Amino acid sequence: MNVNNVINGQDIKKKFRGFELNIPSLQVPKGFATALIGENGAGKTTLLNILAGIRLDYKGNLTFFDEAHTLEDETTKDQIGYTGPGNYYLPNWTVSQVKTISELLFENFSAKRFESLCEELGISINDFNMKNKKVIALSDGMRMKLMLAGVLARDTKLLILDEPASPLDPLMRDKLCELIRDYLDRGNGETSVFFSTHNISDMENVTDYAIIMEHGTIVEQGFVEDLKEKYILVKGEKEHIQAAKKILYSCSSNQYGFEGICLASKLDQLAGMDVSVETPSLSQISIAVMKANTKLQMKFA
Amino acid sequence: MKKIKSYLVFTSFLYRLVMFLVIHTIILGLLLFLPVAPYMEAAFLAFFEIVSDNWLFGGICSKEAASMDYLKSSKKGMQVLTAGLTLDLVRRFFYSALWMSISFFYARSQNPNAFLFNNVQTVCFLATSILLTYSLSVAGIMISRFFSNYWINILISYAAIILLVLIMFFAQGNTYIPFLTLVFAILVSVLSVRLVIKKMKESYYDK
Repeated sequence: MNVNNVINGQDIKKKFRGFELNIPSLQVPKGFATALIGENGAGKTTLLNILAGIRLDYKGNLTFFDEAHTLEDETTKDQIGYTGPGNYYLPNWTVSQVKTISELLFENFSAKRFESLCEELGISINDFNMKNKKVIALSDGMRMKLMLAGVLARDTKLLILDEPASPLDPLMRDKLCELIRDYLDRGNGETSVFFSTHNISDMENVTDYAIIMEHGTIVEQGFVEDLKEKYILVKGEKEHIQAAKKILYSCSSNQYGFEGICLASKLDQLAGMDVSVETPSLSQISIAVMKANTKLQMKFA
Repeated sequence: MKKIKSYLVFTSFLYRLVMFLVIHTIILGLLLFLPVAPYMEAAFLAFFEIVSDNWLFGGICSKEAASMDYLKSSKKGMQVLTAGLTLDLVRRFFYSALWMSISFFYARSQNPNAFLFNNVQTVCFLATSILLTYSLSVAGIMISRFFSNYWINILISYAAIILLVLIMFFAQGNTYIPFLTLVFAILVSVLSVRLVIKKMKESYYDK
């Protein structure tokens, strides 16, 4: 598939206390939802912070929107909506202050749309108590909803969302997928979403492209449909487990048999074994790739 | 106008209620019913200024607020914050000037034997009380912004009151103290803004 990129990065490097981010090449396709997947400490938040322009201590080149803009350009930050974990807002801001401050910070912010999104997400913005509630006093889930309402109320071309699904309940995760899909549909191929997630299964139905990171570098990336052709899920009888392990990326077993992920190109090496193959989910592929690259001590089988 | 808005957006409803309405009512009440001296009004103003900052920029230099990500995600973030901090100082100075002048002249009108200064001494005393009330409250908020705990603001405000009353007492009739307080006021004003901006700039980088 021939696609343009909303983000292009070359040789992005950053070192910090024993951690090294080293990404020789980064491409995030335009018009799609891209998931950034990886274990804790893989460098996802660092990368997203660099892309959002809230960290400047890195080396490398970054361009946005068909390579036409850099973060130094006047208009670039206005076109990027970013939500992050931790201390996103100042501790004393109230819910209503978020609205007024956003109006001042971003020219493309619509207060009307913000209010309607808040209502849609269950934040009673017109309620006196809610309006004057400090954001720090909100639950993690409510704070994430407020952040989402804030970025979606702006007219942007790119959303960078750091762990948007983590604090949300299952119903809200579904709503989040709906909001992301709406945002992409409204953009008509011109808007893109780049989000990190540990909740791969919940976010799979909205993920078009996936980037898997380990130890500060990208270990796998591609359109989900392509990845599902590249990898296969293998299920077999327990007697074949030892032979299969040599081919599989990851493997789990129980008293009845085993299942694991392997490259589709290695399928012929399974010939002669009593196995069945299925299309894996993105979650299964991601875990297999992470297991193959992790420094954690994993039991293989 | 945009600069005023940059300041107002940082003020919550509670802060506006207290600082734009309640504080004036209380000081006016103190003035009318306890016209002892401008000390009382100065002490009360400094106390409220430091304590109420906890609702405004409280803890902005603390670890809890460290990253200021939302402000940083906008190209105008730094500009808006600087304007907000600066306008806040202007407002503090205006409050000090307003209430110290009113309370000084009111106290003198109520008691003709109070503050029997010549013109130079009057200007010096008034300038000292305005600058001192302002600068001690700014120094207080500057320190308290490194802590998000409300009680720290209260402790600092007590310390500021004691200092304020002591210095004002000794400042009576003194002509060189206004210059010292002017230097101190300029110093703490610049420093209080720069510390927050420095904190924000540092958060773009690893320390």
